[in-house]
Amino acid sequence: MIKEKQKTFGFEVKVKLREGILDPQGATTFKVLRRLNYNVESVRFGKSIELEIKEDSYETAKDKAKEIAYKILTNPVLEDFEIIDLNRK
Amino acid sequence: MKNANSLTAGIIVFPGSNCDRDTFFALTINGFDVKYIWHDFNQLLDFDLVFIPGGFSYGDYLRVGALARFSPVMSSVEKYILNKRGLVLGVCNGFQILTEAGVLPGVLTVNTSHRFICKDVEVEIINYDTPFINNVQKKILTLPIAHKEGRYIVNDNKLDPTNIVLKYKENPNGSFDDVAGIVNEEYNVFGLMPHPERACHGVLGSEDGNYIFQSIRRYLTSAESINN
Repeated sequence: MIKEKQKTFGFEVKVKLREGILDPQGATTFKVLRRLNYNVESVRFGKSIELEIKEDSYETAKDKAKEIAYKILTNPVLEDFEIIDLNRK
Repeated sequence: MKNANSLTAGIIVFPGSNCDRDTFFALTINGFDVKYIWHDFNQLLDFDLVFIPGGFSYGDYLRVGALARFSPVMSSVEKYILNKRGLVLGVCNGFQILTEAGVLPGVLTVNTSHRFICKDVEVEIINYDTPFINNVQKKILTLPIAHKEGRYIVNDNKLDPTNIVLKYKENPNGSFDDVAGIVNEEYNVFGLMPHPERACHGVLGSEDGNYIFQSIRRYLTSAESINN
């Protein structure tokens, strides 16, 4: 239910592949960077998804963001996520 | 016992499915009465076989198969599986959707080569006990693959070996344990990356895929499937 007095809270969900899951995109980029003589130790790709959630309180909004990230935005077999508060109030 | 002339099959069509018509052809020449099912309706699936075809459901945005699994029809598919109404076959994107839905274990992700691979590959049959394979006389099938996200992964390498039905002879995509196709514990859901429907008739260059359709047909018309 969307109510008038609800506020919008912004979150960024950062999704990255779990440790040990091969990241071909990262591996290819790594090879190229090494070929260009950059002393890079590793390259991992991820993605960032911004959510704006309308809720009564920051806590409920954050819980919803976590729920969405866990249930839909990531597949726990492959990926981990991290939620960053964008402080949009 | 089901009469061979009255077998029915439903093909689920998502926005972005593109193997639905090939599948229609394959099932029709095998004597099924086939209907397309639009993904947007949560309806009773009263078919002997439900087929989730290949393609790029919802553009494969987010992850392959991830958005399709939230389509209303998928809850009908889950009920269909729980009630053991019939068999479910997911090919390519269909396999990806079934893993995302948690019906089959593991997940499919981008090939180690990071390339789209489109070629014929040899797959070996590992488990003959499932309805999808138990009437196949061959040990090795030549089937086409066409995917960029076909690398099968399972958490902590936890996969019951009896769930593996097909293995690649030469792993094209980096799949764990050369897995090309798996079944669930009840043996009524089968997911595979190769496309049997693209190798079901002489005009397509190969008929190896048709062994799978014939096996399903034999099973559905045999005494074994009566209690379903």
